[in-house]
Amino acid sequence: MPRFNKLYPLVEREVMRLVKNPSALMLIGLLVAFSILLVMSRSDKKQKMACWIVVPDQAMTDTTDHDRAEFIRELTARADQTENIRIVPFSRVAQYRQQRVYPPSTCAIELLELPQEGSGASKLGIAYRFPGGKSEVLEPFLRWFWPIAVGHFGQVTVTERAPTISRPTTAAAMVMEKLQSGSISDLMNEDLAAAILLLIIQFVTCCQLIVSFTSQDRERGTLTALALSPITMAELLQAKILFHLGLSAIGSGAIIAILKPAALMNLSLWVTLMLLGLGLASVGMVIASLTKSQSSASLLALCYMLIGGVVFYLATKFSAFAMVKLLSFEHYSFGMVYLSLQRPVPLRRAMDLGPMLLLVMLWLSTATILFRRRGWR
Amino acid sequence: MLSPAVRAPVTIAADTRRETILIDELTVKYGSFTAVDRLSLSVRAGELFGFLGPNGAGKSTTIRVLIGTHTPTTGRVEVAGHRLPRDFAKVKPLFGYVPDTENHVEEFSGRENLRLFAKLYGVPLNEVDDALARLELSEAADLPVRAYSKGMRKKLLIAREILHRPRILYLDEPTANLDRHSTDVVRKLLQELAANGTTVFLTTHDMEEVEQICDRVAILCRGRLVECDTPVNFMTRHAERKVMVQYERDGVVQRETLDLDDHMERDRLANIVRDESCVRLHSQEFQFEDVFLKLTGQAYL
Repeated sequence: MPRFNKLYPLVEREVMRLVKNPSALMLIGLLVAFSILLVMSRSDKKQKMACWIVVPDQAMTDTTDHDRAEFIRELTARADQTENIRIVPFSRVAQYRQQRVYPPSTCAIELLELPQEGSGASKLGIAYRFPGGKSEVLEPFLRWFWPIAVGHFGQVTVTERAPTISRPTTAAAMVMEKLQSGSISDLMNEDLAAAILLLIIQFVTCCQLIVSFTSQDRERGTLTALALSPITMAELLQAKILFHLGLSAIGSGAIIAILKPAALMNLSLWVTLMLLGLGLASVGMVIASLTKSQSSASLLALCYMLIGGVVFYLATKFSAFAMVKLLSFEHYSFGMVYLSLQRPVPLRRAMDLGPMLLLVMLWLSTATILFRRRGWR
Repeated sequence: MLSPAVRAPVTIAADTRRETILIDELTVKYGSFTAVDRLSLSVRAGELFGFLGPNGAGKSTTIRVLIGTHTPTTGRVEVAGHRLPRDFAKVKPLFGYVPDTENHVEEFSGRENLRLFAKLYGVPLNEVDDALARLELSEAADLPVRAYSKGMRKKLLIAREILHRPRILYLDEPTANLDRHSTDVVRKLLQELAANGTTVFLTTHDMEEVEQICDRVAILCRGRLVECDTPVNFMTRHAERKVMVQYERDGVVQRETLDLDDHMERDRLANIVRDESCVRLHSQEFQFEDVFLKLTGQAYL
């Protein structure tokens, strides 16, 4: 059992060291500053919202359904008169994991081909996509679109439902009540950026700094001095990991508060981040224990990150690397962090943390053994 | 080949009631190289024990075994009644270790460094100031350690290691880089500590220090114990009686050093005093350093 009267001065020492080490603080500050810049750029883009009206590919050329072709032609003609509405076929919309991805600050009205039961004919359905959970950005485009749609068809099949709007006040909003808020680029890109930033800050605080501080301690002989005082090796290791996890929590909290404040209370996000931090801190301790000098340790930590990046990239290209990816706890964490930033993660998906926990524990055990045997000497 | 001066391992008769450090047939090997070879010695409580030897003799390795950071290849090591490395955790609070290179937290001030260790040892924080004052570091206490001179860093190390009033204090060249005054301060402190019952185990290359403060001295060479005794006994046993004589012959000044233990040289001295016109005649003082060189130097011949 850790003795808190021994852990406290050790953690306090690490805090004081960080405070007196401006370069480490600057690095964390830079990441937070980057988040602020990201948010500032988002508010600029909001003022230039565009709308894509996405139509089936064959509707652009098909001459068998005269009404539908006429409708698309009219939409195209009217869209030409407006600056921020574009008619785009489905094939032109980028896809990521079977979800359509739109450019930043773009909402969309998708016209879907819905097969009708019992007949070979299809019906036209509509789905709306808007960024950041703010459906009101669609309102001006719906005011433009609906008169044309109703003029042509009289009746439209609603395909997806939105639980987010509770009190419709306008005609357009009444229609929107029946629609689903979808994934769209602004939301997508920001979540992605936030997830990547969180991963970087975890790496910097839990891996790079622990490697740097620990190997510096060992090079100076401070670790030996501490190890010869009446504390156990486990307490020394726990204090280091506790401090770096705390630091990563502060850094991550700042980034989440700036980029995705709604996700701050998301438990699955914090559990994933803490597990990731623990894993990276263990990797850091392994690196620090295996290397002789601070410079070689820092270099090895950087190599670990770069090799990880290359393996992940190769895994998307070659199936041979997929197995390697599965052996990395970072692989499980990224998807969870990304999803948790958007909404609470369903239990089924949270089961991904099982293998991650196992891998993190493996790294932690290795770090403990190596640190006890040679890391502190 | 070793000269006869490096004897087979010597076992020192130990007063088992008072011994704090007991080393029995300790051997430490690094691969095929034997750093310490069947070393046996014991150090009693309150003793100021000097551990000497040329570079690479195995002094630091022995200390590393005694503080538990190195595992012996064979042999038995007991510190304060605890076996090492088995009882490392029990031994840790009982000793202080001043290494030859300083290992402070560079970003901290002297006071902050000491406060950290005071908290770890559970020592009241007001004793930090006392320790700083004893080593004459009060004025520089709030300066960052990186601004300290080498001597100040060494003194801060000693202050840190006496903070918890250890039963045993290991020091690796404690007065290296210290000025004359600071050297005196440290020597006095070590003598005080020993007088109060602390076992002081130090390595040094300063033979004057050994003569002045050590109760007993062990000389190590090539990992083997050459001899262990009090400095006075060393001097008595190994002193060489020599006389330097300077005389004038045919207008030219001649100088000779003659060994009084050699009857031929003794006769030669008598002849010079009788027949020549002596300018200077004085005995040569035999220092502990000469004993050390005699014992260890022969080992390298």
